[in-house]
Amino acid sequence: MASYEEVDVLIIGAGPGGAGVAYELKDTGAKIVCLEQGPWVTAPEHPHYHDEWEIEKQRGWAYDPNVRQLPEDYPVTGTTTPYMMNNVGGSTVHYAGHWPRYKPVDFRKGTEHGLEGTIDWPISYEDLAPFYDRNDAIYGISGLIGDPSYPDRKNAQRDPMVLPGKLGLKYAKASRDLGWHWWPSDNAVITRPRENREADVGMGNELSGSPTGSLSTPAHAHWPYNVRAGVDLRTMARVETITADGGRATGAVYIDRNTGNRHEIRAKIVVLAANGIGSPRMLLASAQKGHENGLANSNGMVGKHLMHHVFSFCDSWFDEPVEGFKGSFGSPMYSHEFYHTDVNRGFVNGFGMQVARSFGPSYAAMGTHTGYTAPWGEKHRDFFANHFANHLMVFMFGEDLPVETNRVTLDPDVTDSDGIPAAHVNYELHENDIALAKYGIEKIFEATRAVGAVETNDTGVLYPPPAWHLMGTCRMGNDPQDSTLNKWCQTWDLPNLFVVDGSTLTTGGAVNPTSTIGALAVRAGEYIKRNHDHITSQRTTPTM
Amino acid sequence: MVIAIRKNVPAGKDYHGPPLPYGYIQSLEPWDETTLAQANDNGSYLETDQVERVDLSKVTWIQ
Ligand SMILES: Cc1cc2nc3c(=O)[nH]c(=O)nc-3n(C[C@H](O)[C@H](O)[C@H](O)COP(=O)(O)OP(=O)(O)OC[C@H]3O[C@@H](n4cnc5c(N)ncnc54)[C@H](O)[C@@H]3O)c2cc1C
Repeated sequence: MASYEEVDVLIIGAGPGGAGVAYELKDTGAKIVCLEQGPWVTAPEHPHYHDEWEIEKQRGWAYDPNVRQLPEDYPVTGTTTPYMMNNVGGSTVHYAGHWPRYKPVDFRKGTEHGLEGTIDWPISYEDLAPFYDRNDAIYGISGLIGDPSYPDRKNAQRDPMVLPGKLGLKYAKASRDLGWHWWPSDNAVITRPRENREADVGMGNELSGSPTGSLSTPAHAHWPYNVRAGVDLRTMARVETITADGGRATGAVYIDRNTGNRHEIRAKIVVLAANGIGSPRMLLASAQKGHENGLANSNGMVGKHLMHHVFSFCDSWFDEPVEGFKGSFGSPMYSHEFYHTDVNRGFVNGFGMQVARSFGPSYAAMGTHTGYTAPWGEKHRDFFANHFANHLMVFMFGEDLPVETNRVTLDPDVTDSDGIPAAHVNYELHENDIALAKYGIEKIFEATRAVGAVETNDTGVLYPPPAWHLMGTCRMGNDPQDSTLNKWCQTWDLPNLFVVDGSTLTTGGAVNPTSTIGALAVRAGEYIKRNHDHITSQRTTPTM
Repeated sequence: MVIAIRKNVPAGKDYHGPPLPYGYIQSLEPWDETTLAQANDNGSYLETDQVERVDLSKVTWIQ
């Protein structure tokens, strides 16, 4: 490599973490480059207009990169079903768009129980609340303000709620009849049009992105504005190594996947946002002189304390239409009745019950979420007629403990198409997670039976869990000994190297993580904006 | 197949195949005011400062 270019801020990964930081910095005049290993998926590439839209979930639009095997994907080995997407917008191009926040208690789980590797966050809900509001306004969120299980959020902008349909109304009735908490969900789905984005039409396939922009992802909410403001987004640009010199990050070497050529970029500040598997993978793959265990890993914490949430899928069927094929994913409603720790149940932490939509007829015939497959032959027609669209699925969605041995390492034998080591995951369910999930399954069926479910089926405690939430592997903390990042997402080892993505989350809560990742990105971006010069001269990472 | 479902499956009379361009916005039930008014009846949260250590002796797997 004969030459290099120089920028102010280099961002790695164009998902919610990277996009959010870029959005906050886009008008500062700073020279910003974002390197993204995948493409910007265009509207016609989505499956929504095609008859085979459901089959696509098993091939080109599979959630799992090991199944999909697109050129931009990298292998993830070990005990895992990794769900992620590698393109502009990151994994949100596959997300459901359910958009809950953490609750205040989630920031103090170290105080509450401190079990296994659990520590407190270095910030509180109150610290993050204004950034949640700002982030929500950027994405475009529908929902209803006023949930009594959260602090007031009167400054949060909301489009009108998505329509619940028969399915949402049914579980709301069940929760209400049992005297449980329930509330209509916040969703990253717009119900009013925005610039270059159409309002939701209740299409029901957000889990394969959105060609109309009704699903709020960085591909629609951030990148068009970032690029217009001058942020240099380079797609098909795969980072091979983050470079460092002594106590400072100096930039990165990346491979242009169109040409195969390597390029070096030097940057005053580097923001890594490659997700809860991709970021520890990059840091570990960037081992170099002076950083023999990988970058930002002098305390050996990088990759540890991986969390996915603990999941069970709970199917119920009714003898009347529920029409799960209608309406938008994320979720029409949720119940947080069992969110808080109650040690009288024998475990710590809690769970949410998140009502999901169903897909179409192939999904009904092939076993819905729990493998309840329609018989072939003569009996198929009757089974199908009794089950299709009479179906309601609820996620038992629990908080898993951040166990130290649940971790991401580098696979010694497998590489991606550019020769970079694959990520390897070790993840075991903890006894606490299993007890919590079993309790949750019972509670969900208590509710659906109360409103007339005639059949039920569940997956049990899913192992390996569906790994669509990749959290905790470069966590924030108060103490440089038990975490990788300070409260501004700066690595303890290299003050000008930030990690801003799912790996940043100290604990997982019992909610989907992306609204919190987005809020942290706005907060880290604002910190960089206000302190750019200071950060570039810092020799040690501030503890306060 | 879509025609057969619409004709023969009671719960599938509105099914129209691919999600777009039509979606299902026209045939989805909205929230009604009475139901929504009752959503407020249950639920609470702990303030950050209220979070305290729980009694871990009751956690069964620790014993
Ligand atoms: C099926 C599914 C459903 C989901 N549903 C929800 C939901 O309802 N609600 C919710 O809150 N969350 C949901 N999620 C999770 C959500 O998508 C993630 O939390 C979110 O996208 C994580 O953001 P991130 O910035 O951490 O990483 P990502 O979005 O994964 O972005 C990381 C980016 O970094 C890029 N990258 C990685 N390595 C390199 C490299 N070496 N060089 C260059 N680029 C690189 C990747 O290509 C990728 O684009 C879901 C996820 C899936 C898969």
